[in-house]
Amino acid sequence: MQSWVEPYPKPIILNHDLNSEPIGRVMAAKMDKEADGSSFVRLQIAITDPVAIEKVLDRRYLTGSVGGRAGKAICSISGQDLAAEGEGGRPTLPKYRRGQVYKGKLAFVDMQDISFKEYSFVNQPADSKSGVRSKKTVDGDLKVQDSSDDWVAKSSAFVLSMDEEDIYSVTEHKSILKHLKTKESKPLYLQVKGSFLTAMAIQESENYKYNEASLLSNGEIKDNTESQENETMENAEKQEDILAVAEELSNSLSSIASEAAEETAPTQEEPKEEVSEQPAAEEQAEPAQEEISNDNSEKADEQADEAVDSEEAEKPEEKSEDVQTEPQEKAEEEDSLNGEDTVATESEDSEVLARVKALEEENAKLKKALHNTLVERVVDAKIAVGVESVENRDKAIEEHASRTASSLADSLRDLARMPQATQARGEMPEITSETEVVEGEENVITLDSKAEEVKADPKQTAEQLFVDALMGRRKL
Amino acid sequence: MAFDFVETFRVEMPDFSEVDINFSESTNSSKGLIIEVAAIHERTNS
Repeated sequence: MQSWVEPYPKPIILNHDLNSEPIGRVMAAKMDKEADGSSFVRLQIAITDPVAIEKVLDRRYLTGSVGGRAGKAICSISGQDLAAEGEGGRPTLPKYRRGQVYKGKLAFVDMQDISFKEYSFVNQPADSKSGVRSKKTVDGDLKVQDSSDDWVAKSSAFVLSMDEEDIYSVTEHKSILKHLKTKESKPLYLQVKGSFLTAMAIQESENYKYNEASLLSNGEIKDNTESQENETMENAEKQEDILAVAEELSNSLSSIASEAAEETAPTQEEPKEEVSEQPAAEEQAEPAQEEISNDNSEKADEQADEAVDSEEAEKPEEKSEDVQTEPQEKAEEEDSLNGEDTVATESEDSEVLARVKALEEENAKLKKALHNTLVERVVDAKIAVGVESVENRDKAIEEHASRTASSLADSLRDLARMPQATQARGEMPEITSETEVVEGEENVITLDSKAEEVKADPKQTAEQLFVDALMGRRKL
Repeated sequence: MAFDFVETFRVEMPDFSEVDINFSESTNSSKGLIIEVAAIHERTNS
């Protein structure tokens, strides 16, 4: 579950194209249950792309799709990990056919070690690619139901109004904070605003990198890099500071979350029948997990390499064309061409310089926005744990604004380790065993039965309040 | 050996016809659109 937002909020993209610019980011994720008891993952997503917002509003996005990676695929009959490498380095072939019943036991594949990579809106209608569902009939005729077109994922939309400091439900056409006490509504609003601004800041930062890579050619990137290398050490440190701090902070918060999860779930039981085979399967899955964590960086490297290759590949063609055409015209037009080239080069140089300057200014703005977001997160986190009062928020923000990113990150780490914060994290149900049997029913695959076990704490956090309010569990 | 998977489903978007908010410059304005949507789903029975 945490993989939706850690180590970074996962992107909302189109058609599973990880190379495309995201249209939004996941703000929060939670396990939930429908009225019939079936489990599902509920996501809060910030739609940040204006064009995508229009398409959402006119309901052009009708199909959703989740992309993820599973480290294990355990056969429900044999307990064998089908994802583990067999002889010859190939995946193990299943002995039991999925959907069939063997001695009264349904054969299905239990996917474990799941990490989510992205949420997509896709153009084509829902298809049958699901691999985690099952369906059984009352008379015991059990079968796996892969078809997903009979499930409609209901959604709801909310407008965050930062002018009015309010959150409106689109469906209900009213404020969801209106009937809450200020003591409840203010932290709730601030929490949502913080999450949204964080998503925006990350989005802006990613878009900046994306645009920078596409706008600048190879040579320009090289020139730019050289000019950056010539800058003073002080400037270089300033530029790297906030990004490095943000990355380090993200890692720290991830580890804190992991520690908290271990502490809150010490008595988690392993599946019973496959106990003897589990250790081996887990050992085999460890390299796979490393593969998952390295996946994004590897892909990014590959993309960068591809971009470089494609641009390099284009250059020789341009050169060869020049070589072929220039000799023919050289004698007559040499002088005039030289003059035109000089003018053209100067013009291009000025364009490039202007573009670089604009990008630098944009970069500075983004870093400032990221710093401001960090400040707000620290203050909001302090409010959430009771260190600061809501009334003093603006003053606290002013006071924190002068602090360095490292200092703010340290504060967030400390706040995350505080008992209140740890408790608050524990209230968010996490998928600890992605596929478990629903209590009281047999042969049913679930995503997280732990969601049932997690009891709501009376001291609800702002995030919990918001999630409850958005899901209609809280009366407004 | 980890493997990728996708889970695809139909999304029922809410009715935005009565929403009187302009998001055309949402990145510069003080309005934000938040969608709550179900992702992976597990049906128990029917």
